[in-house]
Amino acid sequence: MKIESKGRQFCHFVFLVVTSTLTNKEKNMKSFKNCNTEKCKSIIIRPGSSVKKRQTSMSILGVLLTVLLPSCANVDRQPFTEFNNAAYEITTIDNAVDSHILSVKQREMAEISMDLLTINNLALDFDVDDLYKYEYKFVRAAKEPLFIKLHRLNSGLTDLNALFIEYTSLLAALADDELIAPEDFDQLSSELNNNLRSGLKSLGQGADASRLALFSTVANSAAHAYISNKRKGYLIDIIEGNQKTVDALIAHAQEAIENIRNGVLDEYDRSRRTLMEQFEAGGNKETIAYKFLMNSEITAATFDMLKAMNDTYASLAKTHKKIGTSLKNDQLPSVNELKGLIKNVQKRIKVLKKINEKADRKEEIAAKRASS
Amino acid sequence: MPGSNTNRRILRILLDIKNKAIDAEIKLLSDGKTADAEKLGERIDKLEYTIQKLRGVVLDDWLAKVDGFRTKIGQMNAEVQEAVDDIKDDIKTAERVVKLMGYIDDAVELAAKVF
Repeated sequence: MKIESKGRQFCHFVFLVVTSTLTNKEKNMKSFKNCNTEKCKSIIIRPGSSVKKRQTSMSILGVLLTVLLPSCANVDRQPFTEFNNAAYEITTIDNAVDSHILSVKQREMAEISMDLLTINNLALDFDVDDLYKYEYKFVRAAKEPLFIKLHRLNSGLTDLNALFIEYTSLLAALADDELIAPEDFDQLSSELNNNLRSGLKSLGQGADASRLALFSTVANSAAHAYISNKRKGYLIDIIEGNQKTVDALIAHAQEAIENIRNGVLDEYDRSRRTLMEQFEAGGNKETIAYKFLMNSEITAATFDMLKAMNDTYASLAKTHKKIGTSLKNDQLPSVNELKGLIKNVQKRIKVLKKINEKADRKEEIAAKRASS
Repeated sequence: MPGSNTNRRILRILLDIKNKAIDAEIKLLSDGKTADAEKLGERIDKLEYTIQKLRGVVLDDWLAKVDGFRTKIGQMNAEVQEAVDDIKDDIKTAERVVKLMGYIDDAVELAAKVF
């Protein structure tokens, strides 16, 4: 999507108004001469004076501004803020990935430690020409352990999440009323009035406060409406133009979650086999049964959390689209579904954390028993 | 070489096969059919090795796309920032036009005084 060149539209619009008011002065004067209403008469202060011309041009300016900008395009920041918050919450996925990476690392390191050559793959290679270059041997041997790939997946996902958060925060900034703060427009009106007052004063005329106020209101609301409208147009264009990228990004994030899910399942079944072997080898049957249950509880809680994450990602893409459509139709988009899903993610993370803590405590007790 | 979607699909199927095969292995052991369980166990070991490799391939597929996304979202953000700046510029432009209108008024006043 290509954004219009900076300020071009607004410049064109303002200059159109300015030049219209200046070049049509004679024509305007004729129309005012033919006007018999009290309102028209009151505008004419002194026939042929430049003050009259100025006030005529101001009225035309006001009419033009009012006609050209019939409605003010308000943008509600709230959905954008909620969207930004939701995008931020999704980063909590790190918690789930970390514990999974740790379990994969423990298993793989145990396997690696069985063979000296495999251990040596964890060493670094250096470059005689590039003094500070290094590379793990497992890269050249194409034997990078899964836990290292998972670390890279985690940081890649964190990076993409951070960039997406930046995007949602920029959208919220663009939707923020502070960007087009009324104070800025009041300042414009005040400068316009000052220009006019000084002009009237230099010509020996007192400023008509009510007329200046009318001018100020018209110019102020028109300029505000114009910029609000333009901002709304930008938001619609940006959201529509980026929908495909957002969809693809969300699908990529969901793919990462699927990868974690597959990894969790693989590790779960591996530990199931290990426990089965321990059982066959005459290990403590009750302890093995408890470990079976514990593994299942952790895996179930992880799956619930991953599903909650997956649903939230899907809702982010949907909400992004919904905000754009609602904006186009002058409706207020609902972000309640997204808020509900975020709450679910937070709940699932708490549950998983509790189950992991419970498992850790049980393992500690079992280790103490075994040592005693 | 299969695409990332195919790899993921194959991985999911293999994981499902492994999960069910372990159930069968446990059943054989509990039935006392140790030899059969051992044979099945060997096949599950091979399956585990294939799954481990495929997990690596799927992760590589995912990682290969990260840079492209990084660039795309970076462009998206630059675009929104440009819109924010543009709106700010409009307000500045309006200020400049207000000043310009003042100058034009001054010029008209001066002309009125002269003529």
